[in-house]
Amino acid sequence: MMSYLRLCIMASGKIGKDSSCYGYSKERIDEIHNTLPCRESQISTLLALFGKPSHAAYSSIFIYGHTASGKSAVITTILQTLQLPHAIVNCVECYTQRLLYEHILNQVGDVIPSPDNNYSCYARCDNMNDFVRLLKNLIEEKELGSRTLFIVLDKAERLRDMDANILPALLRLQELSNCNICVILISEIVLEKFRTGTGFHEPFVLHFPDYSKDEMLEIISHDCPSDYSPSFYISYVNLLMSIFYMVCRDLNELRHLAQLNFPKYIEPILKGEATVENAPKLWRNIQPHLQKALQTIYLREVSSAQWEKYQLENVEGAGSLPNLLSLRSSVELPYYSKYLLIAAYLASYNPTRTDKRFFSKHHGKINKHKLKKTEKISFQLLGPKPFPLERLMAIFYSIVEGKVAPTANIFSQISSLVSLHLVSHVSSDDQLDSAKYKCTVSLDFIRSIARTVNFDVVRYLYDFV
Amino acid sequence: MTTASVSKGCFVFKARNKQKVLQPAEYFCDEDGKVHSIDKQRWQTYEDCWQNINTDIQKLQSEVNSKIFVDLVNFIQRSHQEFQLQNEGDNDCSSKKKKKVIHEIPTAALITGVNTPDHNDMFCQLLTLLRDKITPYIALLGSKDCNNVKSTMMKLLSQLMGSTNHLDDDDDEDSPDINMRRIPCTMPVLCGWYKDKTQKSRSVIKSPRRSPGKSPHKSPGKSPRIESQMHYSRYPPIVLVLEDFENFKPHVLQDLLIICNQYLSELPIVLIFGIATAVTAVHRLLPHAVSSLLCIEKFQAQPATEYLAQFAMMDHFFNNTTSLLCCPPSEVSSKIKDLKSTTLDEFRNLDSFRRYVEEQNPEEQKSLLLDEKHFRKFLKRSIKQIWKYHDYFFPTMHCLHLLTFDLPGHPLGRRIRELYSLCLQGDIVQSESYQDAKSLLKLMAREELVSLLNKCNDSLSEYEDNDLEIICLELQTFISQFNSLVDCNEPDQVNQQEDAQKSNEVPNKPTGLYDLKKHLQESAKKKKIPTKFESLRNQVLEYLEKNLFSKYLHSACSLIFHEIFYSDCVSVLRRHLNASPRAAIQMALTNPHHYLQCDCCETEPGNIPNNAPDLCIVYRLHLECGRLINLYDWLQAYITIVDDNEDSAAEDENEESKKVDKPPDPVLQARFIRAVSELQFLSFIKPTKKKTDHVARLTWGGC
Amino acid sequence: MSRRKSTLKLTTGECIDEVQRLLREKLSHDSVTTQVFGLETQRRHLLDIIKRCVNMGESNSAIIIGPRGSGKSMILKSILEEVKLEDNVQDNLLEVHLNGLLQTDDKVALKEITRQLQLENTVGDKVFGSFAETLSFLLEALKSGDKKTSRPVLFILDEFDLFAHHKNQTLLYNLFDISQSAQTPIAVFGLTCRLDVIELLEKRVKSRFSHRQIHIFSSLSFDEYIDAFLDILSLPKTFPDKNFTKEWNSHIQSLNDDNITIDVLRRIYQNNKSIGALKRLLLLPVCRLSEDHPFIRSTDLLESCQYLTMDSKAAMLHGVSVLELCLIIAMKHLTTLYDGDPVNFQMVYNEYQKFIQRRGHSVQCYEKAVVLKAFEHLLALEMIKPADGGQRSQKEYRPMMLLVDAMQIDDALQKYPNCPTEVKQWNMTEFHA
Repeated sequence: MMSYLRLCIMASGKIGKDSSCYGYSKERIDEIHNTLPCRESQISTLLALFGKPSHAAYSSIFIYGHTASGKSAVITTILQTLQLPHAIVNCVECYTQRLLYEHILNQVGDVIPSPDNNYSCYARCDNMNDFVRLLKNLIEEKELGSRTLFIVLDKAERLRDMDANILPALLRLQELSNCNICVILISEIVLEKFRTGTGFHEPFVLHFPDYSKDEMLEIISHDCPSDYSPSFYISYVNLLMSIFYMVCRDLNELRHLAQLNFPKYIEPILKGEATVENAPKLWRNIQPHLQKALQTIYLREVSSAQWEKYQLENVEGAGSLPNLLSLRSSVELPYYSKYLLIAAYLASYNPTRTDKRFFSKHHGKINKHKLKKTEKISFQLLGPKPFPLERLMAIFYSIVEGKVAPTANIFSQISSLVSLHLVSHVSSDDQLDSAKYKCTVSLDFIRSIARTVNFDVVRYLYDFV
Repeated sequence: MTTASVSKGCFVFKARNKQKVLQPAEYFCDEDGKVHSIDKQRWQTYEDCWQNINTDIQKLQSEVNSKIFVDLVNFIQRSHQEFQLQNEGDNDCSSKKKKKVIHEIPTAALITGVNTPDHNDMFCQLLTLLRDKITPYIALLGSKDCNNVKSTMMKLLSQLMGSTNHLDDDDDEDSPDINMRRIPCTMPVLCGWYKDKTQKSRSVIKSPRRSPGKSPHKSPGKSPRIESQMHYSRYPPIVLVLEDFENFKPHVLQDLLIICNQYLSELPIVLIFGIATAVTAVHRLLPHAVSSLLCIEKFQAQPATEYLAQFAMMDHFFNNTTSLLCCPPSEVSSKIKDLKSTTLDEFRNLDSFRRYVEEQNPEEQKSLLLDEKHFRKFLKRSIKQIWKYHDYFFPTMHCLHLLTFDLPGHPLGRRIRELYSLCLQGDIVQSESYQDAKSLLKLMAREELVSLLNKCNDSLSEYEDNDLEIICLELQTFISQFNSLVDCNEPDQVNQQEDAQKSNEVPNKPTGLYDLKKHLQESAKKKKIPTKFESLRNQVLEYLEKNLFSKYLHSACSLIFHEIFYSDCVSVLRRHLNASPRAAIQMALTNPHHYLQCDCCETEPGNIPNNAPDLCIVYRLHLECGRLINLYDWLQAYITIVDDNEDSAAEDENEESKKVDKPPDPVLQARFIRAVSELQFLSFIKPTKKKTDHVARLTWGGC
Repeated sequence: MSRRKSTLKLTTGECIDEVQRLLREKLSHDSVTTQVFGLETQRRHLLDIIKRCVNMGESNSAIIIGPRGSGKSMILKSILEEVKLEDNVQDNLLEVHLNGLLQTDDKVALKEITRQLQLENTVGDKVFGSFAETLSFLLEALKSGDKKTSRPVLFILDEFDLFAHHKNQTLLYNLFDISQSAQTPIAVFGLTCRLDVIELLEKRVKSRFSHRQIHIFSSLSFDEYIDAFLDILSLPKTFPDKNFTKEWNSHIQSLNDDNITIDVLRRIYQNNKSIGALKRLLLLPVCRLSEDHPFIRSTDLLESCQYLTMDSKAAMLHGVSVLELCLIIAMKHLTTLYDGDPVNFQMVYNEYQKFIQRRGHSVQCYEKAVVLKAFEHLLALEMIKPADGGQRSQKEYRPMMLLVDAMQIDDALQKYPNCPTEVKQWNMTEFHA
C-alpha cells in the first residue's frame, strides 16, 4: 500500500502543475491571477470551493470585506473567465423582489432586453414560488444538467430590507429547487447582521481582508502612465501613501488621489526644472499641495482638471485652495433672510429663558457659574431645538437693523428658507402659526452669514457667554 | 462705461425676486389709453437712452451665462472621452481596454444661487444648448416626481427613450410604440436601448442616402435637430439633470447614483446637480460610500441683477415729466424749443431750481419765473452745465478711484460703484473717508505713488479736454520730478543751509553737557524737517485735490435741474421690487377700492360696506373671529350685512324678528358659500377635522 | 487472481475526482440520507403514522419539532424512501411538499398544491367561492369510489411556523379539518424549529389538530460526533478503486487518534453540536484535495477551523483607517461617560478634537466634513447604528449607538499595522470628563 501511495505521490509530482486547475486550462487560471493581483489565497479558495463544473457546490457562500477589496471583481472575473453559467445582480437595482427574480432569470436565460424583443424579459415572476419553478424549467431547457449555476448577489445587505422570506429562501435555493445552484452573497457588512427571521441557513463565510500597504502600492502602481517608468511612479505613490495612508485605507480613494496629483508631481519635469531622478526636489514641490489635498480628502469636490487649475492659480498666489474651501459653504441670501436665518439659529441653540437676557435692553445679570453647573453638555453638542414661529419673529425684530413691518413677504422668506433646507419644519402641520421650526445650518455657516451683515452671532450664543 | 457703473450702483438695494419685464410703452399712456405727445417724447427719449444702457447689460448678462454654459458644455464633452475610446475599438479586442473601468460619474454641480431670477429659464436654456451641441439624450428630474426609486427610474427611462428618436427620420414609427407602461424600468433595458440607438446611428450616418434633400417631408420643428445631430459624437453622453438637488430624498438619490455608477461602463452618464445653496448640500445628502462614486466639478452662476437698472430708469422716466430732457445734448435745444408752458412750470417746480431762485435778486427771479424765453435760455444753459459736469465728473472719479482703490482698509471702497455712491451722497472731499484716504496716500512710498500717478495720467489723457489735458501735463511734470529725485531722504535745500551753519558752529564751541543736550535736541528737530520726496508728495496730492477732486467731484444734488438726470426714489423701487403678493391680496380684500377704483365701494375704515364684493365682506367678517369659525354664525353675520340695505329702512321690529327664524335666502347662501370657498382657495381658512360645521383660520391677528 | 477480482485501477487524479464528487455531494446537500444517530424511537413513530395513512387510509396530523440541522427533513425523507419500497404504495401515494419560504400566502400555496397534484387541467378555469371549496374539490378529484380505494395524500409543510402567519391560517385550518373528518385519507406533517409553534395556531385551528408533536433533539455525545465525522468522510464499499478506498479509509481512521484533529473537533463541537457545522468544517479540506495533496491532513482541519471561528467584526476593524479608529475610541469613551446613552457626531468630533489637542501631533486634525465622511463610513459598516428611527434631524446630531465592544477594539488595536501609540494609550485611559 505504502509503495502505491509513494507511487501516486511521485506521479502527482509530474502532473502536479495543473492539478489545482480543476480541469481548466492553466492559462485561464493564470489569467485570473494576473488580472487580480494580491488576491491569490482568496482566488484559490474560491476555485477550490467551486471545484469542477459538475461537482456539487456548497449551497451558499457569503463574502464580506471592505470597499475596494476586490470582492466583486474576483467573483466576476472567475465566473467570466471560466465561462461558468452565472447571474450577477446588484441588489440596489432591485427595488422590488420582482426585479430581483427577473434580473436573475434574464441573465441565466441570457435574454437581453432590446427593441427587437420589445424590451421584454424572460418571464413575469412575482414571488419566490414562481421564481424557483421558473428557474428549474430554465435550467432544464438550458441543459445545464449537473453543472453548477452561480447566482451572485452584490450589496446583499439590501436583501434584508425585502420580504422576510427572500434571504433565507435564497440561502436554501439549492435545497428548495434540488438543482446544483450556488448562491454567492457579497456585502460590506458582517454576517451577524444578516441572521434574522426563520429558516436562515448558514452559508460558507469567506473574508476578503483589506490590502496591506505594500499590496496597495503594487496595485496602484499598475495604472502607471506609459511614458514614465514604474519605479518612478511607485516612488511617487510611496510619497502619496506616506501622507494619506493614515486617514484613508480606501483603494479607490487613494487611486483617485494618485491620478489627481500626478500632473502636479511631474510639473517640474515638464518645465525642465528637475529630472526624473531628482526625487527630493519633486517632493519639495508636491508636498504642500498634498497637505492641502489632505483637507479635501473624501469630498471629491474638485475634478482633476479644476484641481490643476487651482494648483496653478495657487502658484500665482491668486486664489489659493484654502479660500476655495471657505467658499464651499458660502451662500448668497436676501438681506432679511440672513437675519431670519440668524434669528432661527439663535432660537434653536439658546434656551428660551435666556432670551430676555440677550435681547431685552435691561436684563438682570446672571452668574455664569450657577448655570455652568446645571448644564452638563453644551447646546452646540445637543443640536438644534425646535422653536415656535413667534419666538423666531421676536428675536428677528430685536436683532434686525431698521424698522421692518411684519409684511407677508417676510413670512414668505421663512418658507423659502425651509425649501432651501436651511431651516426645517418640525411639526408637519400646514397651520402656519402652530408650526415649529429648527435651524439646520452649522456654526461656521451662520458665522459667515452674520459676517456679511456684520452681526456678531457668538456674542448672542448661550454656549459662548 | 458710465451707464454700466450706474447699473452697478443699483446693487445697493437688496434685489429679491425678478420683476417681470414690463411693456414700457403702455406705461406712458394715461387711463383713457391715448398717448400725449409729450409723454411720447419722453417715451422716445427713454427708448434711445435705454438702448445704450441695454446693450451694456446684455453684454454683461450674456457673458455671465455663456461663460458658465460654455464651461459646462466643454465639461460634458470631455467627460466621456475614454468611453468613446473604449467603444471605438471592436468589442473583441476592446476586452483589454475594458479592464480600465471608469470609476466615477462625471458630475457638474451647477450652483445657481438663491438670487437667480428663476432657475427654470436657466435650465431650459441649458437643455436646448446641450441638445443642439452635444446630445439628444437628456433627462430632467425634479424632486417632485422622484419620491421613490421606482418612480425615478420610470421618469428617467420615459424621458430618455420617449425622446423623439432624432437619429433616424425614416423609421419614426418605432418611437411611438415604446410605451413605458409595458416596459420594465430597469437599467438593462436602457443599456439595450442605448446600444441599439448608437448602432443604428452609426449605420444611418454612414448611409449616403441620408441627404438633407429628404428632410422636407419632416416636421419643421424637428428638422434643425436632425441637422444638428450630424455633429453628435458617435456615443453621445446621457445627461441627467437634477433640477432642485436639495429637495431630493437622500435614499432615493443614493440608490440612483449607485445604480448609475453600476452601468457606467455601458452608458456614458453625466450628472448635473442644480444646487441653490452650496456644495455642502451634496454632503448633506450623500454619505461617503456614494459621494466617492462621483467626480464633481463646480460651476458658480452669477446672480443676475441688472434688470434692476432697467426698472429704475423706467420708473424715473415715468414718474417725472421733466426727465424728457435727459437726452444727448445735441437734441436738448430742439426739445426745449417746443416745450409747452405747462411743462415749463413743472421745471420751475423742481426744488433745485427753487433753491437757486431764492438766492437770486428779485428782478432776476421775476424774469426766471415769468419770462419763458429767459427761462428756456437758462434751462438750456444749466443743462449744458450738467453735461459739462458729467464730462469732468466721471474721468475725475476714475482717477480718484485709481488712486484709492487698493489702499489698506479701502476707505473709499474697492469697487468704483462704492466710490460713485459716496460721490452722489455729498461732497466727497469733505467726507472723512476721503480724509482717511488722503492721509494714507501721504504715507505712500515713491514707486507705488509714481505708478499710480502714471495710471491716473493715462486714464485722464483718454478724454480730450483742455482742462484735463492741463492736469495731465502737470501730472507728467510731477512724475518726472519724482523720477529725477536721486534719493528720497535728502531734505529740501532751504533748511539745508541753515543746519549747515549750525554744524559749523558746533565744533569750535567748548563741548559741555548742556551743549551736547542742545545739539541733540537740534538734531532731533532736524529729523522732523520733511525730505524732498515728502514735500513733493504733499504737493502733488494737494494739487490733485485742489484742481481735480474738489473742483469736479461735488455732489450732483448741488446742481440745478439735477432731478432731470438723477432719481433717488429708492422707496418706490423697493415697493416695486419686493413684490408682496400676500400683502396685495390682503389690501384688495380689506379695501377693494384701492384696486377697483370705483367710487361705489369707497368706504371709510371700520364699517363694512354691504355693496362690496362678497369675498371682501366674508374676509372682513372672518378677521373678527377666533381660531375656529362657526359657519352658521358667519353666514348670519354675512346676511345681516348684505340684507340691511336691500330691504330698506321701512321694515320694523316684528319683521326683524321674523327674519331671524326664516331660513336664509338660498341665493345669499350660495353667494356666501362661494365666497367662503374662494377664501379657502386663497388659503385663509381650512376645514377642520375637530368640528364639522367649523373652519379654522390659517392667518393670525391683524393681517 | 485477486488483482483480476479487484475492479479497474484508476489513476490518482481520477480517484481524487471521484472522492470529491462523492464527498462534496454529502457535504453540500443537507438532506442526503446519511446514517441517523439515536433517533430510532421518533423514526418508528413517524413510520407508523405514515403506514397507517397509506395502508388503512386513516388521516392524521403531526408536527415535528427540532432545531436546525437536527435531521427532521432527513428522517422524513428516509422514511418515505422506505415506504415507497412497498409496490402497492408508490403508484398510490401522493406527496405534496410545501415550504413556508416559498408559499408566502395561501393563494400561492393552493396553486402549488394543484400543480403538485397535477390537477391544473381538471380545475381549468373554474371559479370557486371559498378556499375550502377549492381544496375539497381538489381532494374530491383524487377520490375514486369509497374510502378504501381513494388515494392517500401526504402534506409535508416545511417551515411550518410561517404558515401560521398566513391570513386566518386558512390553509392550516382546512388541512387539519380534512384530517379530522374522515373523507380523504391525508396525513399532514409540519416541520419546524419553534417549540412554541402550537401557541401560534388559532383556537379553531388548534382544536382540529391532533396534538401529536414529535421532538427531535440530536444531542450527540462527543463520541457520536466523532463517529459522524468518520462516517461522513469514509468512502463506501461501492467506490470503484478498492485499493484507494482502503488507503483512504485507513487514513481517515488514523485522523481519529490524531490530537490536533480531536482538538479541532472538540472546539467546533463546543460551539455547535449540529452536523451542519461539522460539514462546514470538512468542506474546505475536501475541496482542497488534489493529486499532490491526496489525503486530508489535520492541519487542513485546523486551517478551516480558523476560517470558521474568525471574529468577523475584529477582521473588519482591522481594515478601517486610523481616523475611523479614533472616532470609535472617542465614541467608546463617551458611551461609558453617558452610561450607554446614544451620542451624536458632534460630541464624537468634539471628543476627537480634545484628543488631538491633548496628544502630540502625529495624529493630525482633519476638516469636519472629512471626519463626518469617516463617521458615515462606520455607519455604512454598521459598526454604529442610529438610535432614532426618524431621518428628521441633521446628520451631525443623530443619536448613535456603538456596536463594537471594548474587547474587540482592544485586540483590533493590537493587530493593527503600525498603529500610533497615542491612539493605543488613549484607548487604554479610562475616561474622565
